[in-house]
Amino acid sequence: MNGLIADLPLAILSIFFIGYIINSLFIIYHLLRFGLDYKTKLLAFIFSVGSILLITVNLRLFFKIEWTEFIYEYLSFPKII
Amino acid sequence: MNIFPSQKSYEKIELFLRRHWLVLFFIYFGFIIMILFGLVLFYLANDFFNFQRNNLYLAEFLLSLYILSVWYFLFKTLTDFYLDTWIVTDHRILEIHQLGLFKRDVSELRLSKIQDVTVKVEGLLPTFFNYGEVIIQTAAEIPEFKFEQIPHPQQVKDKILQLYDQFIKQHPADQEIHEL
Repeated sequence: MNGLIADLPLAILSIFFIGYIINSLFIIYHLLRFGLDYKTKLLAFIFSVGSILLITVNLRLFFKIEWTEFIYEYLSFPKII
Repeated sequence: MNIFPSQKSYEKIELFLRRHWLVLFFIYFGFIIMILFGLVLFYLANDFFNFQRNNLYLAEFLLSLYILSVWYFLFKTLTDFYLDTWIVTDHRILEIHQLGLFKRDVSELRLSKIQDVTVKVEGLLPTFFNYGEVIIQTAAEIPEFKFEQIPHPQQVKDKILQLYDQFIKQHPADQEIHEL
């Protein structure tokens, strides 16, 4: 049970990232498929690189956090050792 | 080389238009304000609550999540901006509208169907920066073509009328001479 609760933030973040990646792919597809000049291709490239960098930063920050500490402190779940 | 998919080999692109750069400037400006808002909120909250280790990491994580979301919406808006285009060739006019990610309108008008061209420049900024609307009344199925927030609308109108005259002279019976 404790393990499940501890994994909850990661599960929520995973759902967020899956949604983000799917929507990002739609943007990239539209820019590459329907763009009529180099600017849209450049835009797709900048967006891809920026998204990868931001997701990496996001994940690094996410794993720095002691989530169990938050969960037990703020949501006052009984800690089973 | 074809610029757009249905371009004919004998068709020459005369104008390739997007909205005025000021519209793009406002998009970027709006998103810079949103990023600054997030940063200021973060620093104010940090100052007020004096975050310690784990709380600070959480605040940084939330800020990065916010920036990621702003990044996404910036590019979604830019996609709309860059995919809205108006193309004037020596044979026809194409209006391409991207409405969100899943709606795309492509309308086409043969130059011979043009009935009337109107220019509309309304407001302080459009007057100063010389951008506005060019409205084309047609004899086709779509009664009106509208070029929105395009730069130099008067010159665009003149060019369209000049191309119309040229087209009518070259195609007296409105028959495509290049395909005969």
